[in-house]
Amino acid sequence: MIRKVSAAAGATFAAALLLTACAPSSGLAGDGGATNAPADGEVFKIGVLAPMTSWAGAIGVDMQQGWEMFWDEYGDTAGSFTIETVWEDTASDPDTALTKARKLVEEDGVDAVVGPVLASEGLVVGDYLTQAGVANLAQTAADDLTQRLASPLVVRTGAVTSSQPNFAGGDWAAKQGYRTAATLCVDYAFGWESCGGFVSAFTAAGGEVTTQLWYPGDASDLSSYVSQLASLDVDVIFVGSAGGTDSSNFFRSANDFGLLAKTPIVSNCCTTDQAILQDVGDIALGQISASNWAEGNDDPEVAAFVERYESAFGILPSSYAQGMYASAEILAQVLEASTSKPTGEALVTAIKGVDLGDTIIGGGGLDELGSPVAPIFIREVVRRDDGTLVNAVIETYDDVSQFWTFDPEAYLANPPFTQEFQQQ
Amino acid sequence: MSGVFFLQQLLNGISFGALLFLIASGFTLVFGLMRISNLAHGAFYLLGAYIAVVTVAVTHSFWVGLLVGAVAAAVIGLGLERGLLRRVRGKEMPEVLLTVGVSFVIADLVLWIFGGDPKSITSGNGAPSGALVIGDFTYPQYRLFIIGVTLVIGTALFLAQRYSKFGAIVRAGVDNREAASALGIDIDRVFTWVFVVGAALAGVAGAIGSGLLSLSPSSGTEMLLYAMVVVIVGGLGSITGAAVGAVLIGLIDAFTKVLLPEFAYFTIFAPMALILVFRPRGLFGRAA
Repeated sequence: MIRKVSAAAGATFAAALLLTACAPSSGLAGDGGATNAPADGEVFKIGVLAPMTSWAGAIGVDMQQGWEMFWDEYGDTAGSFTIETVWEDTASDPDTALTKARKLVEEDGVDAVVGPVLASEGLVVGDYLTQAGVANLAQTAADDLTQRLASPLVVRTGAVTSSQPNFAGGDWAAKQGYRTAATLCVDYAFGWESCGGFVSAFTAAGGEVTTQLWYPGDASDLSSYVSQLASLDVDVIFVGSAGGTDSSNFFRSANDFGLLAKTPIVSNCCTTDQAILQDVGDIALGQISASNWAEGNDDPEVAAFVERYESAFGILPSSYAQGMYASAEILAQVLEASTSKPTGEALVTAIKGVDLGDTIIGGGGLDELGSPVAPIFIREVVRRDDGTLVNAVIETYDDVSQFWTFDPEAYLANPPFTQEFQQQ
Repeated sequence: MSGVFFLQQLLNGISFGALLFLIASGFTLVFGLMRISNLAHGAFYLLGAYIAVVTVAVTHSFWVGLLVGAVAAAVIGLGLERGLLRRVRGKEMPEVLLTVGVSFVIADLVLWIFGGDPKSITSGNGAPSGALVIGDFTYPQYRLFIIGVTLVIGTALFLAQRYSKFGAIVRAGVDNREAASALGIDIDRVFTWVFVVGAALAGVAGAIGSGLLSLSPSSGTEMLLYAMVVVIVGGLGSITGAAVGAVLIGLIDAFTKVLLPEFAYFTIFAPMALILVFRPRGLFGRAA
């Protein structure tokens, strides 16, 4: 409720701003004027919204490293533009994210906003920036950002939808001959969408989902759910957690209750992310997951990126670091090809034309709603030569759309994924 | 629900409850005597846990980790009591705000030093790990170990409070601080010791808990919340109350998640709300 109110207030404020002709997109019509003849070294100012403190603080650090690594390598000039970045901390909170987005637009006069990353922040900020006419290079996975709430000013350059990789996960599970499945997902939008992706594709491929469990986002002890899963007779279990301590606690319990030995598990992006592997160690070996990012990918481009990142920061790049790096690559390409400063819708349109094969994403492009049609990797946790556990690629699904193989129109006519609606 | 499954859930509830008791006992002890809601109690958990994780990684001994974690929490507790709380003794609001402030500082230091990624104590290293298997019945040994350790600590606390001289002094202090003081008991000193014991218990809970639940810099606040719920249900200041409250909350939590999953969000807080409405002093609390 509070979020709705503040979003509405933000919208009103933004509308007032447009009236006072401060809208950054005002020079875009291209009908003459100074904007068509940029002086060399014109500044392109980018505002980045990232959670640098509070519970998602670790994500913000990854984002900063990914972003800065690209510009360090590339130089701070793209085409005729000098890149300037303004960082703002969202404190992992949607209200703060909105306030900081306003600050970036109104005080700093940024030409585009990159981020935020958290789903709760992403929708609020995307809405505000749309009103303000500022392009948003979103890093968040919330499905509806490029579906039912799609905006001509929002483009998802640093992530895929929450359900997208798990379509591939569901399809892959069915192709392994698994006929019945149970799921355990976190009980809010990210979990509903993760599970929805798996369930939709798994059933479409002929599988049957017999049990779906949901755990509260604030649950610490997942043992009750794990012992329930261990008592089921199913071929495969899908786990959709939001990363962090939940995922670690799941693996530890699943190991202790004998679940890992009993039933194969397929999980979403975050359940086997690098931070979790570092924490739980060898018990995660062999675990399967689906994601748009695999730090153990042996593709030469990706491997070189991972090596450079690792030598710069001493850790492996997370999907957040990769998303920011990819966003910077995309932006640099667009700016190189621009003669006048692209902002607002024109910037988004130009971004949608970028070939993602030229980026660390590894292929595909952006669809008309602004979401990547990109490779999804089925990953397995393996031990690298130096002993580090990584997610290696065992199968690649190329050009996976946010609608999987379903008809986009019918898909969008359906409600978004919830506990009740899981099957497209 | 099969017998095996029921037994598993029962043990899940009791073992989580055991961890809750370890956290709540120190909190309730300090409150009972000093009338301070020590909101830095969660930070002691956090500190004990992270220090134990590091120590175990270096020494490869769970028990050394446990000891070092507990001592570290106790030392910080001593510093907080002697250095800061003493200056504002008897002023309720400054006491509470001071402990909140300290907990923020500690949580941010932890984020700064250890980062935000999940961490946990390496399993094994002298503590039981793996599963206990008896026929169809599988159960994690570490969880049984938590129940065992908690039984030992709980019994020791109970006996010390009931039969030792220090226990008698503490009880006297709880009943009537002024009278105890008039009898020549150095109540300030008793305060300090109780505070240190409370902090050490939180440190022990942190070390043991980090083998069960992975740590993040926000674990301290999470655990503090659980401790407060347990203490409200059990009754402020009562060790028996903390024990009963902790096991009760643990069991309700474990069984509701299975039987009434749609209420999983309320399992911890609904009992607290009911107690506050129908028996505000808690199950074993004294009437104010």
